Amino acid sequence: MREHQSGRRNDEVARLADEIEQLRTALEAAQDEVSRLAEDRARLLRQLTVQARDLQAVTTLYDQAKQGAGGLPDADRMAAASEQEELRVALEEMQVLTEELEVANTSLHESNRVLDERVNERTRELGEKNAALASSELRFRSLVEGMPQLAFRASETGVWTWASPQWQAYTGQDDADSRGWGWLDALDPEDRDRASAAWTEAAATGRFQLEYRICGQADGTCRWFQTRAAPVRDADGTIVEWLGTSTDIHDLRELQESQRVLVAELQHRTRNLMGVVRSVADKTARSSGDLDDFRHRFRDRLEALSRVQGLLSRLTEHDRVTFDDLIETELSALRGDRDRVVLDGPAGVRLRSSTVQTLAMAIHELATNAVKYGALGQPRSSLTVGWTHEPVGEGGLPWLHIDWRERGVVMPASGAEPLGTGQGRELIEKALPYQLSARTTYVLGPDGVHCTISVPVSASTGGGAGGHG
Amino acid sequence: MADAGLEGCRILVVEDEYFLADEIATDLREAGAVVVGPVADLDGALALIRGGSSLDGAILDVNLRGEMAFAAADLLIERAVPFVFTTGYENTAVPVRFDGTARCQKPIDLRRVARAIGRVLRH
Repeated sequence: MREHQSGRRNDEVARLADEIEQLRTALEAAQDEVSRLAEDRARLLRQLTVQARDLQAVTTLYDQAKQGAGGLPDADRMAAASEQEELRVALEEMQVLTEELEVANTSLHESNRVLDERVNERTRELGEKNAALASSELRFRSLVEGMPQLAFRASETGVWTWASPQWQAYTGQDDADSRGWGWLDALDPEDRDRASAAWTEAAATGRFQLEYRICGQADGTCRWFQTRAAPVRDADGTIVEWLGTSTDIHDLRELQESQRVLVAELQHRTRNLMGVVRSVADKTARSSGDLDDFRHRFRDRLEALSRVQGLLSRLTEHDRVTFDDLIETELSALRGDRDRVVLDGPAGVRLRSSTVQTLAMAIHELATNAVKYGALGQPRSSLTVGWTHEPVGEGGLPWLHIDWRERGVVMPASGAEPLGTGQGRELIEKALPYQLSARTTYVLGPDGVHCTISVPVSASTGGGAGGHG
Repeated sequence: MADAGLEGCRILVVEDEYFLADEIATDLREAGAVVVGPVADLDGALALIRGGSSLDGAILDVNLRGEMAFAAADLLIERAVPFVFTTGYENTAVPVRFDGTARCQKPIDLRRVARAIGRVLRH
């Protein structure tokens, strides 16, 4: 659109310039005519002067003769008369010529004035049009240079004739570098063939659109851009050039990619969770006395699983659940006496997301059993949960060491393990080592359960990415 | 499950989720198979495949603690051990070289797995 308007304006300016040129030619012709007439007049004046001088000479001669000889000879008198006649004729001629000249002069001045006016008017018009064109070009340039896209013009398919300052600033190519096919050098080498092929296609379809990576000069890294170009056509529809822009879509693509990963991870977790639920149901069923017993215990375990999902769902991408979060969540869900629990460990130990669910289930089993049979279910017993963070432990990884110690529990008769601890023990002694590479111990001591769990934790301490998940 | 044809077969189980691994192993034993593993990570899987004891089949979780199990799959193919992939979701990106490998979605139906492995075994 803009290009068309600007084209029309260019045509008009060219027309005005033509007209001014014609007027100038006319003016020059008129000036030639004036100078020709002026020359005529000058020639006549010279002639008149000569004749006047002759007449003067004759008159003088005549006076001398009249005084000296008492009269002129006839021949001399006649000569003088003839001279006088010639002079009169010449004077008349000159008079006519002068009058003609004046008329011509006047009309010439008039036409000159008109011509001058027209030239001035056209010149002023041309100036205005030029100013309008310049201001329109200035607006166009401001637009192109102010927008975040990298803009370019291409004279034929793919052959660049101009690149915007943004292109130069981003890629470090100067105008000469980017011309022709030079701009390809600023693309990621892997994308160059695709980009030139797309231009061949654009020649046929009249449309160019492609995503490719353009390398920045600042750090040499390549970012994804979406490049679009549209052809500019003349009145016959022939493509005269292409105008194109490249828009930075790198962040958008990264966001899409991370969303894709998150969705895949979510589906992976969901499927695994279904498997876990199925397995928990099976195991609970096997150790349940009747359906009512099953219902209570199954619901209890599902609620624990739900709490874990709640913790995990609150996280943003780089967050981690901390162990203090996890233990607080689990203990506050208990119906037992929360006051008899001492928590002793540093806040902010970040768990690997992949470990949270199984660890939480283990803690839940310990806590449930403590309420039912142990430290949280008896009047004179207590529970201390201590933990320490070892920044560089086994395998060079950071580890969390958890110590669950119940005291003052009146244990059942020797050898009779409390009911319902089967699944808890399996989680701690088998699932945690299997799934989380944890080191665990589980001992039924004389006055309660003593359990230790050591598990590798997230290497990150701040906002950075940690382990998988 | 005896009809699945797994009686006496040595089946490797590679699965990072304990409960799923335990369940598969239990079902396999009930079907008369000998369970090798289960193992939860790629290194453990590679060690068991290289371990020398013969394998009649394998059940391989594609995603092991965020690590892809394809190296183990390549090794199984190299040793002509039939196997199936188990995946958490349908559109898991599996390289084209495994196009011929059966895939089972979790939670897996062991009879299907057994059929897939048994079918390969009988041929």
